[in-house]
Amino acid sequence: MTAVATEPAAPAVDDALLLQRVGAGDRDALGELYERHAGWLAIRLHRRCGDSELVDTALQDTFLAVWKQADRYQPTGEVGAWMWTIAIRRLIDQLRRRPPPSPVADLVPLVDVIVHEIPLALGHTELGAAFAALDPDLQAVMAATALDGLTNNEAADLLGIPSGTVKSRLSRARQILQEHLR
Amino acid sequence: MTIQDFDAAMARAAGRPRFLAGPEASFEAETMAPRLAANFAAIEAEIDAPAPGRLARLLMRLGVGEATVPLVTATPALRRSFVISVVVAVFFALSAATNNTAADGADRIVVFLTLAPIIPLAGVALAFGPRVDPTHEVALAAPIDGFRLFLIRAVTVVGASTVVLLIASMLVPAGGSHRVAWLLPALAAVSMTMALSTRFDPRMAAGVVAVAWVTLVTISVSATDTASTFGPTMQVLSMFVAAAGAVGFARQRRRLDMVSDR
Repeated sequence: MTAVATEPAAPAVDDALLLQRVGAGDRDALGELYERHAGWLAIRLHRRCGDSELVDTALQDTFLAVWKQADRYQPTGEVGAWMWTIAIRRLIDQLRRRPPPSPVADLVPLVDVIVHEIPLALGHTELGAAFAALDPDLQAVMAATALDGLTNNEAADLLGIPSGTVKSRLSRARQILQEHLR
Repeated sequence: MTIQDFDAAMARAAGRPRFLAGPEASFEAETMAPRLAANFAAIEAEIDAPAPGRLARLLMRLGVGEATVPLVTATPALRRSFVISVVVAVFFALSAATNNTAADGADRIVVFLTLAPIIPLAGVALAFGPRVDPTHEVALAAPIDGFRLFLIRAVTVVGASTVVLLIASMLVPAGGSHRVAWLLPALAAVSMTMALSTRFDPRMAAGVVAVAWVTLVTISVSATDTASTFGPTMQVLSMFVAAAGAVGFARQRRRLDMVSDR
């Protein structure tokens, strides 16, 4: 896709409408939706899993789910947010089926999230500083639960740690944050 | 600022997931472009793939592996024509067995008991082999274990026909426990057929076993009667034959992977 930069952008078809067309079986609409969203979805998935094969499968599963369940989208939030909830769960499905073989792959996830996404989410505020002061393990748990909206079990699978550990780290992280922010 | 502000900031950010990918995302996406294109091709291929049939979906729900399902559903003997002929044959045998509801009704059950083991046998004969299986050459060329394929096919066919036969058995009015006296002989016959199939064409093997079975029953029934023919002796004998057939089949399994024009 090449956009002519000098011309004012034509009134873009909005994502929700595109999704409606996908629901009606419009393949071109799916292609357009992929064009718009696959890039950032893949990048964000990659920050959570170092294995490109798993990320590719999760990405494919995501758009297959969008193709089949486009009508289940509730027009309350951003289409991207809906797609992300599908994508992150497809990734966790993949991780449950075949966990990354090397311990190195375990270390990659969420470090990038902490470096890239959390600062964007919190900005240069007191919150950002308080979060940065946390232990990386605690940051990772916060990122998985608060930012990605995962349950403790899902976060456990994403991080490759027991869900009890997720729970205890989460409460510790919140306690420390609370003290910082007081 | 409190922890609630933190939660709110996180929730706000989560609602704009694209923004979280960051300003460098478009650059990164460009380097990923070939992979993204390949992924979309895979998505389109998956969408265009024919939807699994009703049987395939049922099998998958029962926990049969995704790779095994096509092997099962491609079983030649599962074609509608064969299934229909099984049902028709069973109910003809059934009507022959139940027509004489009078004094010798119990004796007439012999028709049903003799025919019943032949039906799974016919299924096995038509489940595997160069003549009947349109995917036979494909299977030989593919890294599929012929032994496993034959087992899958045999279990499928025997399972399907046994269900039909068991239902039919329940419909036989007389005979008591004799109604299911065909089960072990059927197992023995199938087992023997499989063992012989490692050396001969499965249809030939099944034919030989079927003829031997009918001859045996005919001689025995004319010498004694139905009840003693299908009595404990035959059941025990069937078990031994079944075991021997299974051992023979397992031992000769390698031969199933060999190309031959039998």
